[in-house]
Amino acid sequence: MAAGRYRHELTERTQSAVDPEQPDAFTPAPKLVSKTPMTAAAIDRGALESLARRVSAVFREHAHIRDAEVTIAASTARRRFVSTDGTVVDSGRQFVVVTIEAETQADDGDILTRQIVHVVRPDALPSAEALEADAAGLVADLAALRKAPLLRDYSGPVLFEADVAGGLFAGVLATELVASGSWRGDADAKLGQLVLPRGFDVVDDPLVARFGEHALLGQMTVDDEGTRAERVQLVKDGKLVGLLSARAPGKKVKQSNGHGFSAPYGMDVRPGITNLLVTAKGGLPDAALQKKLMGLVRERGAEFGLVITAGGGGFGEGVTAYRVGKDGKRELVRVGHLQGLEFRHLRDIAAVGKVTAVRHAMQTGGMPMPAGAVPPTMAGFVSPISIVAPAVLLRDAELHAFTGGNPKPPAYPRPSFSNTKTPARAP
Amino acid sequence: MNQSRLLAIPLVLLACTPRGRTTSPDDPATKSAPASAPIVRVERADTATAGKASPVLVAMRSELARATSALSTHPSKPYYVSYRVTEADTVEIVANRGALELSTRDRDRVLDLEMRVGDRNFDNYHWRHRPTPGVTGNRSGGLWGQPLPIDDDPEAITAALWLSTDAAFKQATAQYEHAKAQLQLAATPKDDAADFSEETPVVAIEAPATLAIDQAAWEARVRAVSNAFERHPHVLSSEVRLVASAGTRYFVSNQGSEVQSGQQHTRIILSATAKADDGMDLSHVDIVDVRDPAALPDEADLVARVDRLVTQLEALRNAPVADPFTGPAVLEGRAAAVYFHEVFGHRVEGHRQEDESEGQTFADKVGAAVMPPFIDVFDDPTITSIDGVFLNGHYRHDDEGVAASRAQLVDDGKLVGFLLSRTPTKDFDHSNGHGRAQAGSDVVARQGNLVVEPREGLARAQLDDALAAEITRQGKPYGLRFVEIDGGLTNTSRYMAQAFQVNPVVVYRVFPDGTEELVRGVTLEGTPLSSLSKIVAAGDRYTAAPNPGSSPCRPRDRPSCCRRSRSPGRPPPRIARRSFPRPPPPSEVPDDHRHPRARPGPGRRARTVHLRGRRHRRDDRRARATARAAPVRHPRAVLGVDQRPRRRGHQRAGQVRRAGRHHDDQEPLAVTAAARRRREARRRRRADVRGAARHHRGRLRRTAPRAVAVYRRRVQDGRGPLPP
Repeated sequence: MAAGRYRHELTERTQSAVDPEQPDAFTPAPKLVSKTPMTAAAIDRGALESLARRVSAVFREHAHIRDAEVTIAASTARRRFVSTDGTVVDSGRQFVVVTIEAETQADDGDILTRQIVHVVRPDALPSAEALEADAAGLVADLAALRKAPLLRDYSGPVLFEADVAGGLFAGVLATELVASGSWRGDADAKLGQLVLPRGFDVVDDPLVARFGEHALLGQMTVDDEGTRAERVQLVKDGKLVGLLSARAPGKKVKQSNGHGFSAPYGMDVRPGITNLLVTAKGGLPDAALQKKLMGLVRERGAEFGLVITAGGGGFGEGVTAYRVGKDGKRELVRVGHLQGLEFRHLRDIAAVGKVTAVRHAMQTGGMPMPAGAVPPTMAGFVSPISIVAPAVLLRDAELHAFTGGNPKPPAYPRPSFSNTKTPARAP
Repeated sequence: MNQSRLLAIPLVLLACTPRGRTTSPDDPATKSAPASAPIVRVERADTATAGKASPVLVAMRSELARATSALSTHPSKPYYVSYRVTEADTVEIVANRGALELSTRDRDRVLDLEMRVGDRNFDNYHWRHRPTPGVTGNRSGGLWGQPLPIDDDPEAITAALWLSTDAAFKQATAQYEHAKAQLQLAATPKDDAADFSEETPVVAIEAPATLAIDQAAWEARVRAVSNAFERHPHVLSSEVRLVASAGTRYFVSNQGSEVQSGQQHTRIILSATAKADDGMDLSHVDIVDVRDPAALPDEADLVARVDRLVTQLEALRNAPVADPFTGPAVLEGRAAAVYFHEVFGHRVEGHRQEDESEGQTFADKVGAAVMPPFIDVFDDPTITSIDGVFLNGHYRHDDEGVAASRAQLVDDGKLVGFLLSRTPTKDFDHSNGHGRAQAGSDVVARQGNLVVEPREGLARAQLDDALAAEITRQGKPYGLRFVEIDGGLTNTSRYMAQAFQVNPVVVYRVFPDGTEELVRGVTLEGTPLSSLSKIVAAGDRYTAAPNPGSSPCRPRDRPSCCRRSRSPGRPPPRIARRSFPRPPPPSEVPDDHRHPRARPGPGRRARTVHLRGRRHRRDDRRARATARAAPVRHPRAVLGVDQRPRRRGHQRAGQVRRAGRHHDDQEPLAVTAAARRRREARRRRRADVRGAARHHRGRLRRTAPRAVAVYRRRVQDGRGPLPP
């Protein structure tokens, strides 16, 4: 296959004009020998099954919960890499993803789904009580959400709380701040330009396990191409100064900085984020941020602003939001999905928060995805990532709800559960 | 697959060779014995074990009752609701070259829900099997493939059933309204069959199936068996796969049917691939099906099977490539079974008779002769084995809760029935227990154990004699014997050619003197009506094949055989650990590896020398006659248009000319030397198959010289002839 493909490329070159800026197909990398075999923690499948049963039982007694699921996915991956460069890598990673998801239906038929996801090392699995508390919280959130009014369309200033902003940055930046090969856009052309407001720094650092009080999951020493992973300054004081790269170089970033990630089904290795750290000078406390939000609302002549407290992080998840009136009172609303948020919109960040929060997710082949969305067949090809970010206030964002086509409420009531505490085991 | 030029010739023979049993041609008893009814021992072992209703069935029963009661007051209340839950506990172990690739054990439960609104003459399923051009019918039917908890927690299962029932109800009512609206647009269908049949409810509670298997022990066994492939250097890839499952099916309906049945099934698959020196990919597979893992062959037997498999693969590597051919043939064993499965079995499924998008090959043929009068065909899922051979298609109740029963399909060669589910068809109002579905799919009529039963059968030696006689009668240089196949397919869609294709693996050329020669790269194709009508004789012994049922013999119709394509890849490079013998240069090809048309027949001098597919023809009428033994004809002949057999070696000159010029082989023999020289010159230009095709399209003058030059270069470079 490789020989045939090479012959094809040579033939193409005889027929097509050669782009003088076409980067090389592959970059050299120093030989590296790295053997850090992981001591895998034992996974007790029976204990995890019992934990899943116990946590999911929380939903039994709540009639407004249509459907619920607790998924515990424990993955142990040992990776061995050899190449004709003489590189030998033996490494591994182990993580557990706990996803608690529940679904309800509003009176107008809108199906509302929310989830809580924990991505942890096996020795840091949350306790059963903590997970039960998460499930109970979901029940309460959904009960409130199904009664909340529907905000069909919104266009205006939006405040993303710190928990949410991490997903926002991952979703927008992960695919933009990469060195462009033949399959990417033109991030190289933006090098040296202002891409974020002044005061913003963005660093991807795979070498750290913590950032302040936050434990990070994206730590690694060698990427999937056998290149030593490096800390990369991506944005400095708002200017784009670096890009994530693998061994397929971009037009200006011609060397790998150890951020190449493989993907399943034979897809190409692509650069991706590991621990993305977004910081900004001049962060405001929460009250000041809200005040700034209302200032933008008045400036625009709108009636209210929007604060997003869950979802909406660029992963297409359901959004939990509050509208904030001129009196500063918050009211829970049901909203649609964020529309068309792109890299260039980040230049419209009006303010940032003082406090950062961490969001954990997954990525494969350079593409981030919600942690709860990884199918078991891809477990060997995904790696956890972490994003640290402060709350951000965007001057302008749009959310639209897709209405119409909602199913009617159930034609007959859900069966009741007499046994809410001790579910039966599998035979 | 590369279709070469094909010619359909009427010739049918049947042959049946029991596994491991061969009759001696010299045995006077078999030679002189008249045709007799095949000997068959049919077993219907009582494998059912009475059991009590499991928590799953209890939950299904209770939720169905609650749903039916709650929905009975709705204006669009359903008249039929059924739950079908398929539970499977599956172990899968795969090994390759002595190393495990996979060892898993999975459990799942899947709900398939059918809900009908309206009445049984017209309901929301009306357009499911009657898609009509111009009418956008909703074909989706019910709600399939919903996961259920694997814990025996009735309340959790009930809650999951409730959610699916509610979704199915909304879907069914919308489909019913849509179906009524579409009725205004469609012309009245030609028949007036109801949408759903009336059947007597059945209650049958059997013990659920459980899977007892020592997974660790089987991992070791599968590893060891896969290691046996390592002894054979020409095997490119190989695999040993064990799949053992215990499945329990639960069925309840609001008409009172309740079925709980369990069944085990275990299969071990030995497969290997190789590549011939000319690049043709070859593969072979051996499958063993049993119920219980304990009944599988032991390790020594499996290793022996591996050796047999690879020996056949090696022989195929060295075998000559088959030429496009039509003529007499015998189909044995699994080849015969797959043939009937593809050619006939799928086309008599009841729902296809109503479906306007289907070819409906047999829809209007009830009472008409579709096979020779000595052939009967039936499908009987109640049979557990035939002549001691386990039959895969055994079940007691189908997936609509109807008791399985024998369905007579062909009687005295006449079509008398179809495989039927609860979807009626014209003149057939009731199910015969053949409604089948895999988990996650809707029920359709399907085969169970398809049995082809000839009323008269010939012993093996007599079949061989009949084949030889037919070869001679048709003036063919040889016939074919199909022994092993690796599958087949059939197209039943109206919008494509109504054709079937069987992929044989082990095929022999059988010469009139009784010698046989293995060939490779064959596919067997044809069209059903023509094919089945050309069955000439049947054997007297049954063999069973796992999927397609059982038949004592194979009809060999006008099998059109074409050559499989070669892959563009060459054989793999030689690496130090193994050595592959280099193919000899063309000039050193021994006689028996040359093109078989070079084989000196009785009373004939060899005048044709073939070097790796290139023919050097001399000006010799007999050589041309020999080479013309497999004439090619216009592709329309593939569709089974009757043609009179030709006199050996000669063409009807006037007839061919009126048919138009196609290929050199069809041209009449010239009577002058000048004409012979001109024709010979044309043959040389068409030595390249591709050049011949261009000739057929009238572009010979422009392209043939270059095509021939390319062809010659390829032969000189040792890359073989161009693919056909």
